[in-house]
Amino acid sequence: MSLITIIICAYLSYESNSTNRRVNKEISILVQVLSESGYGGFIHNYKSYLLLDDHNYYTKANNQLEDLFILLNEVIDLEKDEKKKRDLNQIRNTFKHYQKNLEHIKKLKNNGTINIEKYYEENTFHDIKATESIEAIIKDLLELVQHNENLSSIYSYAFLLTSLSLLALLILLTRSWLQREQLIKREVLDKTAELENSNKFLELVIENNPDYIFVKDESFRITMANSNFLLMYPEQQRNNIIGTTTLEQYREEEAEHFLEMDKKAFAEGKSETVEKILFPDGITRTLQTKKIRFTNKENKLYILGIAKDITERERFTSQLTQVNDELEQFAYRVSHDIKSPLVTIKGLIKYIIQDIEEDKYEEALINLNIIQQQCEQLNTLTSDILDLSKADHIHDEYKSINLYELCEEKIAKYSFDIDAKSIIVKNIIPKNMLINVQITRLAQIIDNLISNAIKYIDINKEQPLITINAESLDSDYKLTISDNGLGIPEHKHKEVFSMFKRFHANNVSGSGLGLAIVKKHIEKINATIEFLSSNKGTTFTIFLRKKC
Amino acid sequence: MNTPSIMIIDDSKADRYVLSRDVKSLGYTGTVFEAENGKDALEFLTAYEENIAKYHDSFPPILIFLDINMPVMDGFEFLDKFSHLKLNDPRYQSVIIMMFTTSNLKSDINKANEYFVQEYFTKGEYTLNDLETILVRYSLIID
Repeated sequence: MSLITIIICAYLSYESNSTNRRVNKEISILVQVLSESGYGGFIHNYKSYLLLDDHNYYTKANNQLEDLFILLNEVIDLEKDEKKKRDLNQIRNTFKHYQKNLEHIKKLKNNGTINIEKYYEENTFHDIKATESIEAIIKDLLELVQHNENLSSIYSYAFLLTSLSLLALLILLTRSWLQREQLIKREVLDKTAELENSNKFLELVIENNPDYIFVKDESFRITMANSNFLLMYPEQQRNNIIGTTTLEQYREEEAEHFLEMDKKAFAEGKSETVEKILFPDGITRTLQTKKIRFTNKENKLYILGIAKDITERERFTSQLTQVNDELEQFAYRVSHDIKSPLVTIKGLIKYIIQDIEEDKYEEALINLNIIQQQCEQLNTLTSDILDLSKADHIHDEYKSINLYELCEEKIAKYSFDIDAKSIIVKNIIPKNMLINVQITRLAQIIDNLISNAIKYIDINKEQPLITINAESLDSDYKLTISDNGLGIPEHKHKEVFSMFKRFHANNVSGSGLGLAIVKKHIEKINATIEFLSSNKGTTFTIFLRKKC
Repeated sequence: MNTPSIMIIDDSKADRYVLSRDVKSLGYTGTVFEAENGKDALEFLTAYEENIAKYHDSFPPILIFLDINMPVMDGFEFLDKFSHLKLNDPRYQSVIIMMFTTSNLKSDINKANEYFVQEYFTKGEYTLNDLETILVRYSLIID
């Protein structure tokens, strides 16, 4: 560019006409101004200084500014036209603006506080107007020169037009460079914003994940953890977890297991385990923990840990397994206890028919009686199974009842057996005792206990006796049903409330479900039951809560 | 010559009745001892001298029909105790145990097989022919 300028200057200075000389000089200077400021000139160095940490750009830009001011002052002095003078002053002010900004950038850079994007956004101003002014002035001046005979030579005109075209190209290049730069800037800003959004979203996901999420470095120190993880530590410790292993807060075997799984993940890329751990907050949790190895940008190794709390799930699974086992046991026992009498009946019928055919009616009658008993047994069993299954679903209202009268009703129900076995039943419950209970459940409890007391009476004792009593305590009603019967063998005490347990021979009428039904009702009404038993007899004691 | 005898250990009196009529209907004429649970049976079986005096060579029984589900002492508890007796006392070595129960649970059958149980009958499922085969096998009836 400077070569063209020199040629133009040389050519123009050759001209003798003084006006033309002045105008030519003006053109020459303005071309220099464009050259100094455009692509590879001041604007280029100014922008480079803004973007890059290279002080050379500042020095170059500053020197070029000084040259530009000298050139502009010179051309303003030469110019006679007032309008053009004003325009030229305007151009000089634009460069003054640049000068001020250049110093400002230098200051910010020295303080180390420059935010390039922000600065660029805030301090970009329209210098296009100034560039256009220069172009317009050059065009005007060229037209002026065109009218001058001395310059009408076709060669010199063509030469000047060529110079002008080159200048226009120069300006276009400068503009497109600036536009491209701006586009890149915008893209960088957009991508930065996008990245920030993704980071924020990721943080949101990690923070609000119900799992425990943490990162450990190769020294097994926790370098990051989500709130849920930190919440497992006592409040005063939470701020000091990051940067430590926290291993000393766990039992030795637990800490060893953590380390083993950490090491496995570092060595093999991942590890997975189900662990039951007592945490520093005092809660034991069952966790399903996955550890995955990863590297950061400095190529350092870390493991990401994600632990799911499966305590509840494990609890439900074990409950479900237990319930399933019980159900299986129950189904087996029910089918056995239904099948048994049926098999007996089938066998007996065969011989009843035979006996009748042989006119042995007495034998047949005895066996028919046995069949009747077996049917009764089946009936008791099915009723008890129904009671047991209903015990889960009875919707029983609390009612105020007279406990003495309730027990009297039950004693009356069994009066036939009581008389047949000459049992004395003493109901010494205060006659005016009113209690607030779930009547259906309590009635079934008392019914079963009285029925058992009658069933397991000890015929070897002088006087079979059943005593029913109740008293009002501070927060409970205490109900006792005692007998002097056979008692429950000591080694069977644990099985008393289990299903299908019968402890005495000669008493085959029961289903073995009575006390299981009692237990279920007791649980449902939030009461407690206990018993004392020996060969002298048995006492069942029930505590019924007063306020429910 | 040894007079054969059998024993039925079952808490159901009716089941004992039916089984004893079954064996009799197949021509068995020997003694049928009965016990309603494992404990009573064990007491009877261990009273050796007393029973020899009373029943002579009909004691001890050749074949025992044993139920599983019984109050006081069930079939397996009886097996536990009786196997000890059988191992240590040669007088009981010839006693054959046959399970006679409503249970056809595999676990019960496997458990029974751990002892010296030779036969397993499920109540209500055997036929008189099956029973006859057993009685013949142990020479309790003549084919």
